[in-house]
Amino acid sequence: MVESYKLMKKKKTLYTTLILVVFFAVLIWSVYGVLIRDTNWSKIGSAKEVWEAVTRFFPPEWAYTLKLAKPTLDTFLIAVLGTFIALILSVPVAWFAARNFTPFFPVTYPLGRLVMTISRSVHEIVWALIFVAAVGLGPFAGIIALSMRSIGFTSKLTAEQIENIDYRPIEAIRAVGGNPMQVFFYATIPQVLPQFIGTAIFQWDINIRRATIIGIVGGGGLGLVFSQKMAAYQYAQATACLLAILLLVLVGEYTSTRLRTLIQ
Amino acid sequence: MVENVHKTGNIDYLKRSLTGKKQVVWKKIVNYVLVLFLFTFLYWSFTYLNIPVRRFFTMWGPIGYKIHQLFLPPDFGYLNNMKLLRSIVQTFQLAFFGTVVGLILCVPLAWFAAINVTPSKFILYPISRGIIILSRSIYEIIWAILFTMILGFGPLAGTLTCILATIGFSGKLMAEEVEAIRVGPIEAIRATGGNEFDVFFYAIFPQVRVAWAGIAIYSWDSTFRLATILGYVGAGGIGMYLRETIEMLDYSKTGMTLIVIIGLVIVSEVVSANARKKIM
Amino acid sequence: MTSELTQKLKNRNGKNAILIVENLKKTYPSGEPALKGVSLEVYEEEFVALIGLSGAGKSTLLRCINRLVEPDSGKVYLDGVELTSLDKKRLREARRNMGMIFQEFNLVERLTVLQNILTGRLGYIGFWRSLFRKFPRKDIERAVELADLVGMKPYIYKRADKLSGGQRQRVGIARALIQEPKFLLVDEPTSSLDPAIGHDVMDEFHKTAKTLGVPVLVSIHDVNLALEYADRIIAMRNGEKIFEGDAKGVTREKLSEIYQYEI
Repeated sequence: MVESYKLMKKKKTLYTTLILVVFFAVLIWSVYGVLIRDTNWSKIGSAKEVWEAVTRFFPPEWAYTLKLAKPTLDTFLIAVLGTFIALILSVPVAWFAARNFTPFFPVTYPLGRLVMTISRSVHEIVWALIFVAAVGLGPFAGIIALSMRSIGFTSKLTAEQIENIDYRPIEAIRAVGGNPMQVFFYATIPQVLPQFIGTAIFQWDINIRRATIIGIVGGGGLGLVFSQKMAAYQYAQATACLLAILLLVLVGEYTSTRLRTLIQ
Repeated sequence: MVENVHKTGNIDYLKRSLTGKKQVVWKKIVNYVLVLFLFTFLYWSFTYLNIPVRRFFTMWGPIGYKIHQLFLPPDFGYLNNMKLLRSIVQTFQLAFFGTVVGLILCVPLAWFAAINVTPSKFILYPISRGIIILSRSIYEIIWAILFTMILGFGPLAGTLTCILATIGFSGKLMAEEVEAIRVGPIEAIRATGGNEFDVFFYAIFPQVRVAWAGIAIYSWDSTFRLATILGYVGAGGIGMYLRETIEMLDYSKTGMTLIVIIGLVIVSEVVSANARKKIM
Repeated sequence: MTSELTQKLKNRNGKNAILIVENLKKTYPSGEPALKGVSLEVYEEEFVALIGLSGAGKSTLLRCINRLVEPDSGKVYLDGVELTSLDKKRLREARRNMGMIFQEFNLVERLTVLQNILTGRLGYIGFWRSLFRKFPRKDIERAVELADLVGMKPYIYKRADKLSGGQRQRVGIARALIQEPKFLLVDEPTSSLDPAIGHDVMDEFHKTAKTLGVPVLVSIHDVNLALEYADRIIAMRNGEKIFEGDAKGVTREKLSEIYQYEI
């Protein structure tokens, strides 16, 4: 018996060693590809030149921060509205994608899941590009792009909640004579709601970050300002813009954490 | 009471008996006020941002048509383009390199950023927490733009961005895992006279090892998704062709690039889901 | 050292005091005073039991002795060395001389019995060696010896999380012993075990104190076990020492007198 134990250990060690070898091979190949083959080191310049490029960003132009109030508000609103629309739209999507409540399983369930997957796989920049091409620059495109991206996450979590609900309150309401609408409002919603709100707050926090870069592609707000300043080589103002972004994100994160602990 | 039941039906009786108190009325008022506030806020923000709400419903038609006209059919012949294929390889390389380096850095970073076991509460803890927060708060694309400004276009900027993205993503999660471990083995190792490194290798790491592996795979997912579009701002990888084809108005090629990107992401997710199953 | 101290060192039938605790005080940040000025001594080859209800401060006292918890004031001497004044590095060296055994065993679950015992030597090996788990051959041989001593030799390659409670505690004992300690601190060794195993474990401690000559301070809330094995009993309540005396002299009346005030 000791022999077979030793043999099993040897096999395991061999397997582990193999994986490690492959891992390091891929790593070395990647490092080679990135650092040696595809990077033009002479173009980058010496360390001094790099440092010079970095210092161009400091100090930020503080006076400019006052002008950033409006774009900040824009970005904030884009995040809020985008999340809001996503939440509304994710209700039917979650309904379709919930194995137990989906109205017509062979069709609606895969459809719901497909919408969720597409929403999550396509990066928000791509969404933004699509909608900017469709409806033009500005916050409108940004809001829709943001909601398209958020639906995937919110509906996924909500669908999971729906699939895990307790059936007893549903039975109870049915037994009292409630119709499907009432079953939905008095039995399903109270169970799903707390998690739904938590997810909403969480998504809103993430969406603040997303809203800033959707702006870069043309969606309005701080992101747009940032890309404009970078394009105009006004680095000090760009840094000021970055600071505004940082501040907004931190505020959003703090608020969302606080709210979530309140809800629990 | 009995007349009420007959008049309003079973449901209202149930509702009233469930909540039971006069606070039902108060709650209703609060609810209505909240809803009113919500709608006012929405109305104001829509007007403020000049959102053409009506267009929201009518635009789907023109969008569908436009998409059909511009993006379809996607240019499958584009796949034969060597440069495109090379960029797929490059995307993978920079994502892999960036994730590995990021994860290696996260090991000590998460250790220092965990309030319960950090070797130095007043120096290392705030610094490492600060690094993680900074990496997370500024969106990765912005880091990419900054790096391309400093280091020029190319995968180097992309790799650095991936490193920061990984740190931001995994650092917080890994530190939270460390904060959740049992304190017993830590005490035991300290009691034998071990130093902080011993405490890490014998008490902390064995406990968080598995969870960290899961987080690492999760982080690869996220970073790879990022790497596919980093090229849009010039940081290397297939995203570059997204921008190029749009600027050249060659939308059918754009559509093809998009399909490739989505395909890559899906493949990566499938692989990592399998890897995660093997580890858990 | 004060003359009082020197006197203490020679007291008790000519045996030296290995551990001297002077007026330890500790209040937790939440405001709870855990220790209100506790003093005690433990002499060579002694088996001292610390009894008292949960919350009396026994665990805190033990952890203040090896400074896993920092006392607010007071002094601790181990074999003449003042532990409370040491810097971090010297404290670690001093900790090598004190073994500690825990209520929850505190083994490294993923490591084997042998590796767990070896972790007792971590205070003696350097950084790189501990990283690669390269313990000296002498240590490994000693670890096997000790595993045999506590009856765990057949299991030395078994992972710790596959052991029963009693087995784990015995591994914990071996781990403490491989430190070649001058003193053994034991925190509720039997609370997580079946009552039958409790006796086995207490036997091990008795052996350690008498045969190996390493004095033991055991905190335990099973009074019967304490009276059965200990030479001396120290009773605590609400962070204070309320009784100290030979185990033989503790009658039922004395016990009810001690515990009378507890409701």
